[in-house]
Amino acid sequence: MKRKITDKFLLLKIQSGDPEAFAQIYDGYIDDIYRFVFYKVSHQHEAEDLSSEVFLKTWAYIKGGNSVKNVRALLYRIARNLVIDYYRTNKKRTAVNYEDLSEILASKDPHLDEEISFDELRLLLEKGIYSLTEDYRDIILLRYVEGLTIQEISEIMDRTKGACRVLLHRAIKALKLAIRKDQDLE
Amino acid sequence: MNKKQFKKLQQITPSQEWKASSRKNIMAQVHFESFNNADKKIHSNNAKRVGVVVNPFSWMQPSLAVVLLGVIILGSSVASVGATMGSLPGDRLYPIKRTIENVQVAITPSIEEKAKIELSLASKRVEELQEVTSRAKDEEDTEKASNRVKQALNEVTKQVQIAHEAVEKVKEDSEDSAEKIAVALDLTKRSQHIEGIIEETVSSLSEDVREEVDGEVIQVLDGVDESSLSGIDSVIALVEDEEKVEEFLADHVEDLQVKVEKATTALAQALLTEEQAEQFRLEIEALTQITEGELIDTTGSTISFGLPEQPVEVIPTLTPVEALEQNSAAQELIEDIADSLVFLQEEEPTQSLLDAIQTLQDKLSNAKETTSILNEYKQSLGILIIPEVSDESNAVDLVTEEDSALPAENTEVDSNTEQTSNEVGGDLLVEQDANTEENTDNSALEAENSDNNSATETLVEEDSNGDNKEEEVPAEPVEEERVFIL
Repeated sequence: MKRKITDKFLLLKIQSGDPEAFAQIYDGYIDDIYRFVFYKVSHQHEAEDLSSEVFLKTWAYIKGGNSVKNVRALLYRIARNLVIDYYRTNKKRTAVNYEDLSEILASKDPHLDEEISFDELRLLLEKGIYSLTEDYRDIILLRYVEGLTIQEISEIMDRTKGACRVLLHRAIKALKLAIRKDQDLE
Repeated sequence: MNKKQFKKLQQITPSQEWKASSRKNIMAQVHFESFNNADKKIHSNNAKRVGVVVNPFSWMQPSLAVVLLGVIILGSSVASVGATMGSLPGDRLYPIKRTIENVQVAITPSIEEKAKIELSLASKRVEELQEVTSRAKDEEDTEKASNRVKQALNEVTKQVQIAHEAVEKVKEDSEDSAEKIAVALDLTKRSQHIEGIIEETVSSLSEDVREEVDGEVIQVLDGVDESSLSGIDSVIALVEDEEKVEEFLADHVEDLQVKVEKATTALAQALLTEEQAEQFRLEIEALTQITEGELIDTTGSTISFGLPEQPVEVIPTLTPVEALEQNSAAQELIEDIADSLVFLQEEEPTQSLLDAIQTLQDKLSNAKETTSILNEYKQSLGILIIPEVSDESNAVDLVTEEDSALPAENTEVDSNTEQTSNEVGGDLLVEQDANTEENTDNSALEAENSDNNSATETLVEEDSNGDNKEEEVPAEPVEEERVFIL
């Protein structure tokens, strides 16, 4: 909540001609946006380029005199659209290396959640997150990894709150199904 | 699968080096843009030109600003700033170029000189436009190319406006009548010259780009026309020698005739063919048979460079009725322009001649607008896909199709689905904000999970706060406000 008020304040500063305020928006959200984009393109350099672009577009959008209610939602929304554009122009999708990704994740702060094994993570990523459709993956990432509210997600995905809840529900069902299917096979 | 796994996923972070360097780049860009456009939206009140000159340095260290200003003043000649001055709209260095120009204007003391500089800057903007368009031809990305052309066109529009204002100021405040006439003549001549170049460069663009920048072209030509007319007006008011005035006007009338010819040809080409008009009529017929409001949503939306989705431009006003109206308006306009032209040729006294020119120019810009609207409507043909509307049954088909896009509802819940539903909901969905809302969700989902063969139940839709985006997701039929009646 506090974050939201700060954002409003920063937004006002930007609109009244103080570009430095935008630096604070950048500092506040760069990690989140990078992570979100990273899971969507699964490539470090692409994720970096796209994340930078997200902030530039956001700046252009705010500067263009458009009214912005929630900077955070706007950032994710622009990020989402940029990734869509990115895949539209680069038809070939780089293959995700799940093992590397799982290893990176597992090696980070290994004491924190010891009960989560490397295999479990791999399963979640490969069979779960990356096997889902774009919308399902987005909503799971936004809700559970990024921790956004349903209200914010509905702004980002341009759906009503009800539709978002339904989508989330279905996404989780699909995720569970995908993982269970894999376990059954083994 | 549990929440901890998701928490683990949160541990991805960007590298610190990249974060810092990206921040630097972004903020550099932000600073550049904000001082270049300081006169625009961010300071919404009409910032005076002086404001633009002072603002650019606000982000620099004061000492640096002084040094830069010193360099500009000492250098004084435009050429001394070298590479910067060769930059084009959309280039990184372009804002600096504009700032230097603004400073030059600001340090020029007399209003006559100021007006002359602004006028020459207008010509410069057009030269930049030429350069940008010639580069745009090699650019494969239509969006990039058209954006740059748009920027260059906007620069021309702005500068013509500024020059026009500067000339007006001379006309009002200057005491030297020879100067007044000189700048007014210059304004007219340059405007006509600029107009010619714009038309030439625009016609050299590829068709895709030309369509994109259509609006900007109309806008810039309007501004140029206005300036040229105001120049003529001033000349007539200031020059006392009748003969000279007539000579001057005759030139202009000749120009105008060429323009009229062009505009009428374009308009005539834009007219709907009999076939297209017939198609629009069929659409009207079909539309009237469909409940109002339902069709607007079939048009979809477009995503433009990563910004939030916006509806396709033609949609909000798109009705075939309007297309037909525009068409008949265009037909009238062609006749109308022909009439005005006759009137123009007969007219003698200078003042009413000027009026005639003005009316004709208004009509011409009207004609241009109508031409582009008609072309837009033509493209919209086929957006509303209507299979041969031969009888009523087609329209009925459309309606039922839309209905069946919503999954059929069956409120009879078998125990299996209930189980899955609960299980799923029990895990993660429980986290969701309000319990009450969840209830609605679950019942809605259960209904939807079950087989959808018997669709006989009545579905009552309460108005869901008029949200017009709702229809974009027909596959997600369940709104929390909807009520199912057994």
